Amino acid sequence: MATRFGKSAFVRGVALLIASTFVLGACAPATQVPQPTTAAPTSAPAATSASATTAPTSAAAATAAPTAAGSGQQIELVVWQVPNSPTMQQIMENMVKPFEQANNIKVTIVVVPWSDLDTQWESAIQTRQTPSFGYMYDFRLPTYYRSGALEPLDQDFSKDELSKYLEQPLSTAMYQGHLYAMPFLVSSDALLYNKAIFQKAGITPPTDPNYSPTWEEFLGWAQKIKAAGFASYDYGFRDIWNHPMDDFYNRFGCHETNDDHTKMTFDTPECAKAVQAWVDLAPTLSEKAKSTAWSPLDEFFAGQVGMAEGGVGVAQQLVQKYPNVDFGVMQPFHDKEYKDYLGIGYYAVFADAKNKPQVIQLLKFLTNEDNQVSFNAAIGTFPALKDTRGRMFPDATGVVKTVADVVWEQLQGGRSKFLYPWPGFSEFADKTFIPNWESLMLGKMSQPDFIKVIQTQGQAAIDANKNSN
Amino acid sequence: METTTGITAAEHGQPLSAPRWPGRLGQVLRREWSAYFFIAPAMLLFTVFTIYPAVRTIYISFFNWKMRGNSPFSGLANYQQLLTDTLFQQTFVRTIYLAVVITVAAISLGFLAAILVNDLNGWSKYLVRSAIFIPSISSLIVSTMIWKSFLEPDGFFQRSAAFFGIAWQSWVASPEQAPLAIIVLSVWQQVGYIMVFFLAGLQAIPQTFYEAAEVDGASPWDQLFHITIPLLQRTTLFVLVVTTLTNFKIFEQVFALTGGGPANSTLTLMMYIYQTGFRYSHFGPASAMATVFSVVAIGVALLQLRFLRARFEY
Repeated sequence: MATRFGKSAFVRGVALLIASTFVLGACAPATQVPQPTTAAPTSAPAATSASATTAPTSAAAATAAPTAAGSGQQIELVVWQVPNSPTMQQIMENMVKPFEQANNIKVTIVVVPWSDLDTQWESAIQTRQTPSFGYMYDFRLPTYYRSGALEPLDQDFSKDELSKYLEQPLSTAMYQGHLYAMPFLVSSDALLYNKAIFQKAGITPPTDPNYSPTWEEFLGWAQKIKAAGFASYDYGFRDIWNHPMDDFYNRFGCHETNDDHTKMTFDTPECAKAVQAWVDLAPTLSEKAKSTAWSPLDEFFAGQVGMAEGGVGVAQQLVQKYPNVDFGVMQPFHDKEYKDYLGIGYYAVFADAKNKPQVIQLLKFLTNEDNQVSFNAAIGTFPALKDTRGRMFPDATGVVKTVADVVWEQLQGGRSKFLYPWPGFSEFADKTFIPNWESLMLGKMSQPDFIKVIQTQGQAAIDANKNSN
Repeated sequence: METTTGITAAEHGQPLSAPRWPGRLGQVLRREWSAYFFIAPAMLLFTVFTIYPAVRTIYISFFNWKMRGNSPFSGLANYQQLLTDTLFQQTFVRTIYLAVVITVAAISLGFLAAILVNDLNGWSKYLVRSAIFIPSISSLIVSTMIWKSFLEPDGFFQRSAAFFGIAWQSWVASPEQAPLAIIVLSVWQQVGYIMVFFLAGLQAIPQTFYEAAEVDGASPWDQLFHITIPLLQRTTLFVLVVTTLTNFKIFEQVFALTGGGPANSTLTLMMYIYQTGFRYSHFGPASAMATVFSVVAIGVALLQLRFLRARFEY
């Protein structure tokens, strides 16, 4: 006997299914933003169990923090790290081993690709399935602490401990009087140049590595290098960061907004000069720069580009892979101001992380001086701590040592500046600034039009997001 | 007497005036439980991974959705915002343009490939068919990265052209040519898949039709336009609907090849939705965009099915 279920019954069944999922979707529990404790971070130092920031690593690991009380079950902590180095997994696992052994805590390191970082963080926060803590980079950090996704840390670190940190990395992690992340990595760039290309272009470079050329001088070099048949500067058009807004423009005294980020200030003579500078530089750049982000460096390494900006890690790559090429070092160019790029890496604790006491203990362990020194030495950057130059790259010679000295001088001397991302900044940069800047650089937009678009749409973005602060 | 379901009252032993819902449903379930049992796992997966996310997205689109904390109800505000979002409108038009061009090109070339492969014999048939089909089964991201190395400035194409003294503009560096790179990559990747469907359709057409046409003096072109193409209408309709929907959703090629640039010239709707949600944390507007996009895509598919229904049967 042939059997068929009724079409109408089937349709009703599907409708019931859809309706039930709608109800299920509507029944999302309301969540409350966790309120930070009322004590300000500069109040009396909180008692800490791992206060020996200069103690040897193994001793710092062997602190008295308990494991899961009475349960006998080993606690597992998960740390999200980015691939600052191709061997990041191994570096981190070696670093946490003493901690694991001393505390009977299992630490799982998950290396998240750069391109997945935001997606993973957003998904984890939305679903409340977060790791213990994770790496986050500077200009994206404010998005998360403004959303209430991060745990305030000011009660866990004493004033004495915080005083050892460089000021700017620490202040960037502050929000409404509370500290929301611990910096453990800072980086800046020196100006590297290919001596052979300089010679062919007829340029006599300065001998002092702390020399900073003026913009006019730098542009003159760029044009001579281009005339000699090379590309001048290894800098990509397709920037996915805030780099062109931050680094380059700030050197001309161009500040996109006023100090409290309530008003767009891009229509100033300084900004007009900065825009003109980019337009003048564009013809001297390489073809590849038109489709790449930031500084691809491979053309510089291959001896096709005269100048590039890079830190200690770049210098180390140069020396290892191209020992026969002679590179020189100096400070990046300046105009009205001496401000260079400052990159900061943070560890931030998720508000939904479990086993908070153990998480804080691990965080203190990873950010102690010994571990900051060893981590940054492995990837060619610097700790976010003051007075650590003597411990960083002690065996470096030649161009690596020179770059390290130049970069440290910028970091310790406050020359490097981080542009604090105002609410809506990332979106404005992606949707408006970068595409229009690309059009400008490709000659498809005039400078007055570019400045007008940035000024008006930037102000609109500030106004639209002013309540998000 | 036959009921509307095609089953007589005598067959299922119920009086003609059997009770309707919910009693009728109970009877159906009792009788057809085995069918529901077998489709239950697939329906569960479909519900969890397709229906529920879709419904949840529609729900979120009516809220000012926060990453964490209370999300206030915003009504139609997210949809109203789309009316003033010029980038959304430009991206929408660009997505439709890319979808139409890629679909037409891919179907045309897929059909042509099927015709040519169908006429081959022996090992050459298998070799050519495999060569055309391989891109369809390759990882799209991997294929895109390989194409990127060809198309970027100082890439394989540019260096090869320079070797022969030809000036080659890198497609991915130009706002005018970057969309062309997306089109070429997408068509290359889809032709094999479409060819397979047309091949199956071609092989299902009885040879007697062609023999009869030949006897009647029809040329190969006449056979193509009056026999082959009409009898492939069902296949064409299926391929058209599936390919159109696929190309509306272009994401991987854009993400890996151009990132939406240069100057937003290759920014597609899926890429913009992803950026809005996961880079700018605007989940409400992103959900509204996804909802609008879904409605449009479903509408286009329904229109295609309605107006292009097969008229020829054999």
